[in-house]
Amino acid sequence: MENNMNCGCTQNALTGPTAMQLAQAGFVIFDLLLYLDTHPTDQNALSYFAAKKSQYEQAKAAYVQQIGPVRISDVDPADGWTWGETPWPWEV
Amino acid sequence: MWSYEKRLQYPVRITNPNPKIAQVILSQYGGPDGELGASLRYLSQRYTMPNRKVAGLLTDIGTEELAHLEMVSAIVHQLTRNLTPEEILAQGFQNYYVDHTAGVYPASAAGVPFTAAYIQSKGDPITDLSEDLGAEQKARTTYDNILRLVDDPDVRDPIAFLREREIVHYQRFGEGLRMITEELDAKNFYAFNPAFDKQAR
Amino acid sequence: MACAAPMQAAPAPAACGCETPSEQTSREACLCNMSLAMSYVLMQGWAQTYEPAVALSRGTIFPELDLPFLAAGRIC
Repeated sequence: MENNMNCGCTQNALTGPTAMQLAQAGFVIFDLLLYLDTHPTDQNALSYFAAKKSQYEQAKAAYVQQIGPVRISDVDPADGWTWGETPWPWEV
Repeated sequence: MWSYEKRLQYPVRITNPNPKIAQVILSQYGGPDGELGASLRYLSQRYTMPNRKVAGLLTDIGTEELAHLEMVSAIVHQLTRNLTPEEILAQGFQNYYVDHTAGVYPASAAGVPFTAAYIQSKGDPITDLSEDLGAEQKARTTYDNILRLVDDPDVRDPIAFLREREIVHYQRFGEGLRMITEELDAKNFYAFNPAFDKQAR
Repeated sequence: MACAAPMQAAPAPAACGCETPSEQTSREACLCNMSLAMSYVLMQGWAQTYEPAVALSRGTIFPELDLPFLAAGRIC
């Protein structure tokens, strides 16, 4: 299988600090999401969500810039079709 | 609809293949209490959940179970890399191997292919949420059983994460059931099915 | 079943005054608002949350839901 490493990163990037920050920030808002599904008017949770959502967006922007796209919408066609270049999440 | 994020909810990086354990963990992919059943169950039940917030909960937990399905299959895939025929026989992996090589296939540890008979979508909110509470406990027990068998920390870490998620889901489904019952008459919750009947007669 | 003592204020339909486990509320006060033939999970209340790195490694942002398996040798 062709393994195009133009992104300059290796599979190690998937467990490096940039990836871990995204995983952590993404997980916090997800666990919060489930809490808000059953506590939709909890003001503490809503303001915590607002704070953590911007942390997630920053972590994702850093990941996209340093490693590669997270969603299809992160792909900049000027860079070519980078969607398939970074390691897939299950690859070691 | 679903969009995909090219990352695992919790990282999986396993250095040492182990097909014997892979076969056990496969039950959380295609087995009776695994993540495939969980995601199909919740995503199927949400349509007839009359409380919109609980329908949202089913959608969100069902989506998370798809992410867990991805983690379990990543674990199985990484445990079955670079195998030799001698290792396959020595580890007792040959029965799965002969039908799937090192492909990831939804079956139980015992080799029973996934079936919708593992799930129920009963179209009654109390029944469906009760099923979901049971499902989360069954999944937790399965992860407990896996943790007893596994020494490799690369495998234990994501498995312990997945196990904890089942406990959180149990809490949320319990809260969902409270939300459903709050909309019903406490003198008789079973007078009618709010997903089907207009009212009690 | 007769209630031992009336509730202080009219509660919301399923609220029983002992939602958070730390409250000292009589058993009867709780059960008076519950029905037979139904299961009840306490509604979680907002309290502390883990820092993101801890939350991911524990599998939840909520310490009170962090209930690890201790019967498998290694604590996980």
